[in-house]
Amino acid sequence: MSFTIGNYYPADSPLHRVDPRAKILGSLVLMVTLFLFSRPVAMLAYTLFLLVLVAVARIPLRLVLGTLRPILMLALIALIANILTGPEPWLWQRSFLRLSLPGLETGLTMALRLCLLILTTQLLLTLTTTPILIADGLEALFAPFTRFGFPAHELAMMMSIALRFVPTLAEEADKIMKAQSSRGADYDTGGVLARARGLISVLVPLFVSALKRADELATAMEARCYRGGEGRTKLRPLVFRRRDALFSLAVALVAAFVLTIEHLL
Amino acid sequence: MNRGMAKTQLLRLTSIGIFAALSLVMLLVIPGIPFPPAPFLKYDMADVPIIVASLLYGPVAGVVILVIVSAIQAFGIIGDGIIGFFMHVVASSVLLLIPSLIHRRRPGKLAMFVGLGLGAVGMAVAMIFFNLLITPLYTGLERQVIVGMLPPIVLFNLMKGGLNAAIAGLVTLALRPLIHSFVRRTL
Repeated sequence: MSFTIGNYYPADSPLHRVDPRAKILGSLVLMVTLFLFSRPVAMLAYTLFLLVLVAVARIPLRLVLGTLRPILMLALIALIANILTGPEPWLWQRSFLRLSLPGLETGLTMALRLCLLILTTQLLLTLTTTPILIADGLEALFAPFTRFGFPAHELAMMMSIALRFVPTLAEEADKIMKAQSSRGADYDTGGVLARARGLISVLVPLFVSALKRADELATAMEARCYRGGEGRTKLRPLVFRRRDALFSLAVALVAAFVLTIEHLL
Repeated sequence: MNRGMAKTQLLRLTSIGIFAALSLVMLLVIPGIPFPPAPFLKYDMADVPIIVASLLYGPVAGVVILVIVSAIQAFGIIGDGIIGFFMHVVASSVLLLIPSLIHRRRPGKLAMFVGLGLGAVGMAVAMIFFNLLITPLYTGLERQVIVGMLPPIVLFNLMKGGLNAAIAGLVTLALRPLIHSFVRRTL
């Protein structure tokens, strides 16, 4: 059972190669910016910027838009609720059903903003950065706080362990489910309680096996003298190159440009 | 000079990592069940391993796992970034802190289930305030409108929290003898 976590799209594009630290900070800046503009021109300009990113990342547009599926329902509900509950003037009305024009505007802005928000994180991080690199980037960004007792390295280590063991445990869950089914366990029929009992017959062995793996891993790390982050070297250290500086500059310029359109034009 | 970390610390570190992996497995492998009255809400069991870990290893471990899982989810899977991260952390931290703090004081079976129930109710209540505070920011809806949409959301949160807490309680009971035999010894 091959298994990849999340939506990472493997490709060798300039955007894929940008340092994860630059991408994490960039996505934060853009996310704040997204809440500071609402005029259609600014929205359009920002959408164009995202299209450029899609081209640079060499990811099929269909795939990028597919990442919107989980929040489509929420965006739709925000749009409809805004139209139904907004103030006058009415776009259309019949007895108690009134469609508000300002509500339509707010609703469209909010739905579009929600989509742009997701697309920004997806393009900058999820689609173009492996989860392990994101963990590395977060560790590096939080490293300055280590002197105040913040366990940046340990958190990143635990994150890497989590990512590493998802495929292993997923396969194990699959095996246990099949084994319990062959013994007559039932997960799909009966009431909620019956189903919950069926699931517990999977969860308990899965958790026991997870505990065993944690114990083995601790023994293995102890045997190799793991002693935390201090002085530990990396196989692939993060290096901030010119490309990363250019990327950061581009993000700052886009944010400034969009806000200028919003307020001056 | 080259002395390693103590085995107890290491076991805590690896256990937290692996419980976070379990939570991601619950989310990714077992498909979410939509909740008919509010179809944008889906039931998943991702909180079960987090609650179990917070009962076994204490509230701090529980919160650390929650932070790790939320970060991976928000940046690596769903892509709702920092907003999704905070929503998840705030919602689930109530659900796990109440039972694990009670369990620490009174380790009995009954007290554990009472704590779990309180945790589920606490989460539903916290989510009411949270929805009123945050949802207008990204949907543009008036507070009154959100109040109208609350009943199905509250019902969903109560059901999800209650079911996850109950399952977590049963799993913890089954795991406790084992923990005594090999995990508690070193943790």
